[in-house]
Amino acid sequence: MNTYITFIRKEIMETLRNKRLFVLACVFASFALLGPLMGRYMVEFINMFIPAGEMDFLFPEPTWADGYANFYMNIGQIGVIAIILLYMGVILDEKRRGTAPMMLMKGLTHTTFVMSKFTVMALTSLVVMMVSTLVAHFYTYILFDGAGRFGDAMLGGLVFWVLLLFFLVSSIFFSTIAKKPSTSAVFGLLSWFALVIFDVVQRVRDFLPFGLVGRAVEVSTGYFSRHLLANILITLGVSAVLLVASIHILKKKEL
Amino acid sequence: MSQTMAVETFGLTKRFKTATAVNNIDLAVPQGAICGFLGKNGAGKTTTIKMLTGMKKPTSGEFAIMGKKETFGKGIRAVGYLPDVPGFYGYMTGWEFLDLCARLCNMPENERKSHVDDLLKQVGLDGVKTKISGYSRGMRQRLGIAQALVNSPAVVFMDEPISALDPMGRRDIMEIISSLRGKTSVVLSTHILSDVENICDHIIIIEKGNVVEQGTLAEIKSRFTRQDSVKITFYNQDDCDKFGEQIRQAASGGLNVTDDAMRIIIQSDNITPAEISKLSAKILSNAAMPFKGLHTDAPTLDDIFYEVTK
Ligand SMILES: Nc1ncnc2c1ncn2[C@@H]1O[C@H](COP(=O)(O)OP(=O)(O)OP(=O)(O)O)[C@@H](O)[C@H]1O
Ligand SMILES: [Mg+2]
Repeated sequence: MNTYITFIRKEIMETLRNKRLFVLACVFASFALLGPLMGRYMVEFINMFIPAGEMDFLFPEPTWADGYANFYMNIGQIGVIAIILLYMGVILDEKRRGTAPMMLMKGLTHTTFVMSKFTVMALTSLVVMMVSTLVAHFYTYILFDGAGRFGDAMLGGLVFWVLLLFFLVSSIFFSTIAKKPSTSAVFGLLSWFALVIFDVVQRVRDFLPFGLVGRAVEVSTGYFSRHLLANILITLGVSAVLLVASIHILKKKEL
Repeated sequence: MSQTMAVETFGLTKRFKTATAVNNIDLAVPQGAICGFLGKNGAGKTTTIKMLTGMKKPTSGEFAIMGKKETFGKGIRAVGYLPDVPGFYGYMTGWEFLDLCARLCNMPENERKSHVDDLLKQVGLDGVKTKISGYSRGMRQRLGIAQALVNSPAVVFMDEPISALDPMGRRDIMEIISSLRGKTSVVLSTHILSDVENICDHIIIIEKGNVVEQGTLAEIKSRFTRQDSVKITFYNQDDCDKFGEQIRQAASGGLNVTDDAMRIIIQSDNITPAEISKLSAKILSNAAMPFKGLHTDAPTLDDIFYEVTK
């Protein structure tokens, strides 16, 4: 327990001093502004290029729900990619620099090593996620004169955070099995891409991690789908398996 | 039952896909020894040290630290380790890094601060406020030594601890290592043999993954005394040549006589240095030949190293 807290302190220091928190916050906050803005003006923007009256029926008047939809779609892409790139070396860097064996030889266990990293990554992303949801909520309100209930919006952010947890854990996993950070990032991006593709398939969408993008939008508008719980539990379950596997594999690896 | 060894290996072997880096070695380093671990580039020193610190998995064989069998994958608390290229968290100061190490070792709060201060002073990094990312190579080496000693381990492995240091720094670090004598067992790999001769009491030489010499420095040297040579220095080349001719005749082939710039070097496989000097003295006094000096040279560690790794 002592070493867990000690190493969490070290990870927090790293997140702050290496500007990881700052970069993540910037990326997410900018989409918290850009997303609702696109939701509000995209149709008008497209209409500027299309003669009036011709295709009006295709684009219904945007509502505040589109503010959330655009926010979550954007961070589901750029936000997740930022996470993959920021954390591709989360384990590898320590191995290559030789700090991992140094720490492990002082009495830190492999489990504590990985778990304290995961804890701080989860907390960092939670803070970033909640703050940017807050920004998205109020900006949507300004643009649309309505943004649903505050509590629902926050819950939506929490649902999306579960998706982020999944990508954080996969970063740990890929950074454990890969030999180079770039390989780790390629694995991460490929898995992201695979999930994006599977998301198109209606029948599995509701159960895969990316289903949570839609769920987060729904929850923000006050709608709770019957798939919500299953979707969350499956994503958390897969993440837990990946996390345990990472610890196991790391124990077997030469440093 | 003999004394427990600080480090002992039994048929320790490490094979990589393409090569055998460490081949079935049996090492024994007594407690309190400062052991020089020597070998040419690629001889297998780093690989051996990494196995003994639990970082690399032996292909076969076993090892014990302070009499306790250790296995790969479990942290070995009794050892300290200075990597050949030590890496740190660049965003920390040296103080913060050592404090982290001390905390991980569960050092009690009240001792920790003064312990870290002491260590920094010991390696000459006290008062340095820069982040580690701004450290020079020598400073990193010093911090690396400090972290290896943070939990006062029974055995410390140092992979080339002085390779990045200036002459002053080298002397400082050698002094720190010397001060560990008797308390901590040290295994240090290095290519600077004169330093080894100064501070090491125990030597292991490996070549292509095999141990070719091991024992105390005195033992190894006595094994090589056969190669002691007698050197006689003259005032002029004429005397030198004359003497060379006479001693060659006198010994009729049993001696290996070489001369360079007014100096004759005599060496033999079957005649002892004492016999050689007696014979030489006789020739010199018979011819009343003036000479500057006559002395017997024991082989240096350099000579032994070249000999066994030829
Ligand atoms: N990961 C690896 N994969 C394959 N071969 C390796 C690996 N690590 C080391 N070797 C080989 O094992 C041998 C021993 O290497 P090692 O690094 O132990 O030598 P060393 O004695 O420390 O040399 P140096 O004095 O240059 O540091 C070398 O031939 C090296 O090529
Ligand atoms: Mg080496």
